[in-house]
Amino acid sequence: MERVGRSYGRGARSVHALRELDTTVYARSLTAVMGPSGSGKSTFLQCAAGLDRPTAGVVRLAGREISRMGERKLTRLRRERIGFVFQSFNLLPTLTAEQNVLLPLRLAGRRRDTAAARRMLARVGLEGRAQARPGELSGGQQQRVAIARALITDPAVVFADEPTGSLDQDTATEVLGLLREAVSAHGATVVVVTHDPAVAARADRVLRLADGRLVQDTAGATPVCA
Amino acid sequence: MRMRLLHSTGLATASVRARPSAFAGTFAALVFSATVVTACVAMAVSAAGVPASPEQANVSEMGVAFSLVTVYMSIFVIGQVMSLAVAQRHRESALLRAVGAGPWQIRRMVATEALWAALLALPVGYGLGAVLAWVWFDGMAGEGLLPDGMVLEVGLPPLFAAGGVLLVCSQLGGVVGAWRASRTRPSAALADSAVQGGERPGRVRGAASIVFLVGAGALTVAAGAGPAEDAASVIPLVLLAYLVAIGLAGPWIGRLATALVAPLLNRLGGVAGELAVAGCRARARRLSAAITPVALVTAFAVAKFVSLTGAGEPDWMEIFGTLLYAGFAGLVAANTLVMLTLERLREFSLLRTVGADKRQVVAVVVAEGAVIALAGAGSGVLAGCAVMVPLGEKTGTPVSGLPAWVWAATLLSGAVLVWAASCAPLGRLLRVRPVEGVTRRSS
Repeated sequence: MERVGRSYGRGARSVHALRELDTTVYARSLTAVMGPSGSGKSTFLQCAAGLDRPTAGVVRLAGREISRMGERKLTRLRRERIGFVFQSFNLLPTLTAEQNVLLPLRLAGRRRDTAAARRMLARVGLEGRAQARPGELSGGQQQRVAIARALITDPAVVFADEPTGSLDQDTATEVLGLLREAVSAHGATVVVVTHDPAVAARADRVLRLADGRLVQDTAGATPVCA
Repeated sequence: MRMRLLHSTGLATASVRARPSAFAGTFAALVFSATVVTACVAMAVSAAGVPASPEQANVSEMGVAFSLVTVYMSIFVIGQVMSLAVAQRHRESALLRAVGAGPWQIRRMVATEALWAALLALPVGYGLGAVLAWVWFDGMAGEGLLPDGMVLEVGLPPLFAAGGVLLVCSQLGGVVGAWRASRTRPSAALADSAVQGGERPGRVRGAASIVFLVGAGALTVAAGAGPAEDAASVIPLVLLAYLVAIGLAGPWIGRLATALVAPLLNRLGGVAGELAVAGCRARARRLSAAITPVALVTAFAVAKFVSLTGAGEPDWMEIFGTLLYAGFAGLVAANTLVMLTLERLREFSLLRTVGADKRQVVAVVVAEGAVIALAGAGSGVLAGCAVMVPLGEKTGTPVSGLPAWVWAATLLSGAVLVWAASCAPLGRLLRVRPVEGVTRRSS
């Protein structure tokens, strides 16, 4: 990201959610983005993920400039190169766990690869729950399904917005462990926006934002090449 | 007491703010009802004040018959819309209950809201009804169908009639809806993973549906045994009895239609077809809310078309009646379908964050629309036939007189209505940025 700014509204009353932010997220690493409420964490994530367009600056993802991409290209990008995990409401309640995991592939018009979905569900510890609907799963299990869905396309980056925000501590640790493992064992790139110091402690790198600016950039406790 | 009343109004206001589309939907249905009731009662009352003559008897009878049917239709429609509006607010009322509101407070909130909706809708509907009555009156005067010296007086009786229907029906509809809402566990309704409108239909509902079905059948037989004129006037009531049965059986009808269309959608519809099938299977109750008004408009259209073809040269009055019933039912159906799409902002936004493009979201709505159209128009045609096959012969208008293209046109316009109304709010929903839509709680 180069000199990225995002403001809402115009003129004197405009609000700057991000100001001239410069940073690069490295591949095969877990990056945590922290900061108080209103510091621009979520805007950062949305701009980086192509869910929102910055009002200034350039965002590149895997070498392609996404800040000026049209809606159609962005949609394809989301489907094929980016995975998302939100704090809650990640899954379509009408679909089974397996169908939810397969959704990005199906939206891309690919064949229904049930075996791949089951493998991915097994990887997040949900063997045998493929046919369960989200309503039959616990909060932690739902987040696991969301992670499986985010990883199934083998994306360039997985963006997670407070993925453990609505979970109890033990479940949060497990879910975080899955994201950590995706990076360490499978070479994924993960960016997590979080309040939770426990998440930051297991990240390779921590970016701290305040008032729309990057105020601190530190390597985390875990070495980059774990 | 004063404090309590204020407190309760506060809840109702907050609830309207939380989900303006549900309130707007109720309001619109109440306005439509007030409009048709006002126009029909104004006509009946104006005709009653003229000295007796064959024309006077004709117009007066027509006015009374139309008034009765529109009142019954309004009861049906308002009950449907109110219970849908309350059901859509499931989550909010669950939240209120979780923070300690008792079931009676929820009921009171719904009642206050229904009262306001009715009071606001009444003057609008009354005004529109007066305009409709003038158009109707002018049309009939132009055809020379009116008795000498008849003047149109809208006056107070239509206001009282429409006001009574609106207040009583919206309160009753609210009571039923709130009773249902107060029975569910707050924790279940609050869960993000809960399927909106996915509750299993109960045994009482099934039994009630069968009772109405049998009742409608018995009415048909009774009308078939009586004189022909009585049969003609009883047709709309029998139709409504069938429609109540359809409304109650909606979840099962929806499931049947889904099962019929599923193989086709799964094979040819791609991911959109699959999503539509999954959605229709899981949201049986919401599907039912969509099916019933479509069945209503189709059934009335079929019955009216049959009587039009039989009448030889159809007169102005018949045509006006067809337009009135079908127009009213059509607007109500469109209104309900819009309410049902507006509810789904989060779902569609989530699909888009996962990588669905706008076209794919539209395709899902269109595929679901096919299921709704099949179930709604199909059961509407069946209801129309169940009434008109035995009674049409009797009133001199056999169903066989209806050419094939009319059947095809009825089914097609049912489908077009469903697609147009379901897709109409999509523009608004798809303009919301996907992330915002996922976190936003309502529309």
